[in-house]
Amino acid sequence: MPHVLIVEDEPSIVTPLKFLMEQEGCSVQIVSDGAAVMPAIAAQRPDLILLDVMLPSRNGYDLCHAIRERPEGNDIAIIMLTVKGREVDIEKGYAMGADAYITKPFAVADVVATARRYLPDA
Amino acid sequence: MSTTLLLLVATAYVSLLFAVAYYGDERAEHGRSLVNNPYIYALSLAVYCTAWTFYGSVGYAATTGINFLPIYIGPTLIAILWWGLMRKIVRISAHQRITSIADFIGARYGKSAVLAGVATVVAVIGVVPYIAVQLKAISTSFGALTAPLQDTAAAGVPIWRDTALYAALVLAAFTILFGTRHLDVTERHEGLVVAIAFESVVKLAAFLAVGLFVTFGLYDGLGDLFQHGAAVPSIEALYTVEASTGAFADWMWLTGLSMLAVLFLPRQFQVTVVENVNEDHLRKAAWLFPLYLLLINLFVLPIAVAGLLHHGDATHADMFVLLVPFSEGQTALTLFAFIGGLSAATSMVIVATTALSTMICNDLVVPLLLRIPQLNLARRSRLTGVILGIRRVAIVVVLLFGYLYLRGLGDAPSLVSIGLISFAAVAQFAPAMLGGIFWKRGTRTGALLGLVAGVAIWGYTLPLPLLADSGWLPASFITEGPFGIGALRPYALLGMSELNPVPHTLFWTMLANGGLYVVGSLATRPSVMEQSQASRFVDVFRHAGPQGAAPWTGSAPVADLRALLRRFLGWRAADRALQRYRTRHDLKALPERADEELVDYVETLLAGAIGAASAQAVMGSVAQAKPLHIGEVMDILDETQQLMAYSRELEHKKAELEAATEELRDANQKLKEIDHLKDEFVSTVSHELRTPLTAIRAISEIMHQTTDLSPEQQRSFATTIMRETERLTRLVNQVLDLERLDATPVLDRALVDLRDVVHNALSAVRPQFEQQAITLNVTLPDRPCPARIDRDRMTQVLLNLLSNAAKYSTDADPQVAVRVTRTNDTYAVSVADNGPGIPADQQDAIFEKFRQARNRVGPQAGSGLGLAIARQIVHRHGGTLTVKSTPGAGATFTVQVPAHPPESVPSSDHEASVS
Amino acid sequence: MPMDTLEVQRRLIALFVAGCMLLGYPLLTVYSLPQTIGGIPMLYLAIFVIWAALIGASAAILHRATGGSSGGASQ
Repeated sequence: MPHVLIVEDEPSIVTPLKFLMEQEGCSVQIVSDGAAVMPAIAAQRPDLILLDVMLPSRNGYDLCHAIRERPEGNDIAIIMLTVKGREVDIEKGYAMGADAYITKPFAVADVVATARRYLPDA
Repeated sequence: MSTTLLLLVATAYVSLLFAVAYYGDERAEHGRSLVNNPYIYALSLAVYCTAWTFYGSVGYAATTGINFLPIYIGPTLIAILWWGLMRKIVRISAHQRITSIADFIGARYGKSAVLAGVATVVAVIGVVPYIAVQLKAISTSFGALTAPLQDTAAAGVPIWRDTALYAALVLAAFTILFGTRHLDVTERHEGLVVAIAFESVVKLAAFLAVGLFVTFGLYDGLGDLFQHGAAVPSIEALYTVEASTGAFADWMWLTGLSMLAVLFLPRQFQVTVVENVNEDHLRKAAWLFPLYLLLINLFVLPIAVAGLLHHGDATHADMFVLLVPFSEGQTALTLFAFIGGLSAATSMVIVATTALSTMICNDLVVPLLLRIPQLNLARRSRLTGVILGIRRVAIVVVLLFGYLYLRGLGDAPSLVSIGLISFAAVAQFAPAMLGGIFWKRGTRTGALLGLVAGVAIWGYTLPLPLLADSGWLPASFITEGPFGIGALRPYALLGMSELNPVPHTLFWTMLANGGLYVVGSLATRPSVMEQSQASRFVDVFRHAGPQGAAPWTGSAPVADLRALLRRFLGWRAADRALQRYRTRHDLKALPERADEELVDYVETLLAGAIGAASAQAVMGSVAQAKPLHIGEVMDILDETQQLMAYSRELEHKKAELEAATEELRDANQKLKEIDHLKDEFVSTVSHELRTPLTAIRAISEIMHQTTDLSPEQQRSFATTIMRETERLTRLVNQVLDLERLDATPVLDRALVDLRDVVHNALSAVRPQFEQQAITLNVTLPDRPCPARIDRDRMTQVLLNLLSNAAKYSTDADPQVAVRVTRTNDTYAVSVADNGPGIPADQQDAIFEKFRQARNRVGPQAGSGLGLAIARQIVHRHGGTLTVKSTPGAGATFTVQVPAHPPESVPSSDHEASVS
Repeated sequence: MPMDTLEVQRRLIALFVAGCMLLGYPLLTVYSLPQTIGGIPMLYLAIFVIWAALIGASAAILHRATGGSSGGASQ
């Protein structure tokens, strides 16, 4: 079963994301604080991370970069989900190593389609 | 007491005085001036206190109680204004090198020789009797100790045995020695001033010594002395004042008169203005001098009372200062008092004579001599000697006049009455002087008319009747008027008999003098020179230094100017002065032909030696004044005025432009800031809007697409949508709130007891606190805490802080403490929780719009606007909203607002009126 | 702290007016009582106390005046 890590501090956004990922047949772990991300990855390597940018403790760009620095980091797919929709923000996201960048508010279909692209076939 | 002893003591004292003056001059020559010192300066001003003060005040007090005081209260009051008034006169005189009060008046009104001359005559006529009074005091005090309690009428004594004559001669010698040692461009006499200051110390010490002896030696302190006096009804009457209109008028008129006298007496002008080396000395002198006056008057009434108790009546009250210690057998003290009286009299005579001789020479004799073409004075070499000679003769003449006046008058009037006559004479300078420094429109004609009319009336109403008193005129002159014309009675002009003689004179002279000055000034056009001088005088503080030359001054060969200066100042002084000019203007050598500025400089130097009017006349004989016709002068003036107006306009325009640029820059800066803030605002608002929108959109899409949702799932999704919709609503409301606060800067402020506001807020949150089991600790002051605040807004702030505290109360035993304290002029309302606290790096950010401290765990229901709004409200009140927190140990938010002044503690009415 | 010339001027004028009132006539009759304080007549005591107070106040104001050379409007 593919494992998905949802990094998001807004419970009301976590709710639909979790539902969607579970529908896709993934196991889901939720982290709402930037500082808890790296330990969570170390505990169980996810296949996909849905990463918010504006987080307590540590922002998404920073986390993204940190994950890519790790030896196993290149095998993890990272989709950034954020309200930061300016072009510079998107550029930055890709530069930090994001695989996809989706701005909020998003269409559910977009998220599902992008996730499917990076998830290993169940 | 033996005559020999007295003579010995007097001679010793005068010799000491010579030594002091000599020492002062020596120090000045070696550049270590004693005079450049505010204390010496203030002491020299005490030349105001003459024998009149030393002897006469006691005599006057013995008959009229405290009525001797206006003469000292007036100077005290006017000295309060010296920093403005006298400093201006001192500044003008320094710029114009004024040598006397007559010179000042002449210089102000277009360097008028006629006016200066008239002023000199007025000063001499007014002051000579005053000098006579001092001579009389010296001889009376001498007589009182050698042949006590006899009438010492000077008239009865053969001239060669008259102490007054010898006193006059010794004083003439002293004055000649130290008043006319050299001809200086500054006309300062340092040795003389030091001697005068020394005399001031002596007379004060002597008077205080007698006072202390009487009070504590003869009696058991002031209270005891006054109580002894109170047993005698005639003495007790001296302790209070009459409540009659006559006494009222006398007091006020004399206060006013002495204000003018201390400003315009020639000797006061000499020490205050001419001898002033640094105008900053006035700052201290303006209160030290009144302090001196206070001290020297402290024991006047006690000595008078003691004198009356010991001698029974007031016949010899003028000599009580000597007689009381004398009759008690206190020889040393009596001698000291005698010396004190001597110093009071001599200091006045010396300074007054110096001032008068300068005036007579500069403003009377030299201008006259210059007008005699046969003498060709301006062409003669070595004029210093001539001028000093004139002054020395003038000194002797003035003193002899004083002596003759004394003999001619006999012993009729008291010390005080003659002093007051002199005061009234110099008060005639007031309109021309005060108008001269504050009113540019005053003209020569006005000043001349006023002065002449004032002096004429003065002469007719004060000194003339004295002649009748002395038997030179029939007594009916006073009682029925000349030739029986009642309206011309000298003590009751036009039948005005309500006032006493001095106030009567003062009223009529001030009316005529001031009136004619104003009317005459307005009726005539000032000449070019008058206009120029008027602006130099009135606007003296607007110019940094002496102004440049007037454009019509003309030019002259430098050789001629040098020769002229050498003639009047001597070789060395002249060359030094020209050297100074060269250094100041950074010139290698003086030009062959002097420009207007140099000519003006030379004229000012000459003015310092021989007065403004004479200097101008002398310059006229040498400097080839431009042959200007009045038309040309007016052209120059017009041109200058146009230029000045033009440049003023340019200045003005430039200033306006600069101000506008500055404003634009500010506005631009502000716009940029606002723009930036707006960007940030929009981006944060959109961010905050996007979060709930994202949730709502995602969930509703899911619900739309997914058909097989479980009922719990549906319910949970619907709850989230509702919550996020509420959040959106709240957000929109707060944005609107914030906008409203931005748009309405006016708070609805009223005087409110801050404790009420706290109570209000607390009662609103109490249910919530109880629900969360939060312990609430409230500490309020017992006394009302009045503050001018907007009650609703402040409640809103507190509610915000309280609900934040509740929101972050995650501790097992949640506690919130609310405390109101007062420090000086501010109240501090603090709300402290024991929640997770806020990291240091976020403590600023939480007050920014939409920034919530993300680390504060707990239900994040806030929009992030609450604290931003709260802080803005507090700022509007002129207060601050701050936070202190140690992560893990809770956070304390503190609102500080200015307290309302405690004297207006709000009554219940105020509170009721608060909406 | 030094005051500007105009402010000094204003205070001095106010003090002058106050002095004229306090040592002027109608008020003098108020102090002119037959009572004594420690044997000293009221009037005598009142005048000298007011006088000293005026001097003190004027000294305090002038102490804070800025230097004379700085000039400034005096009118």
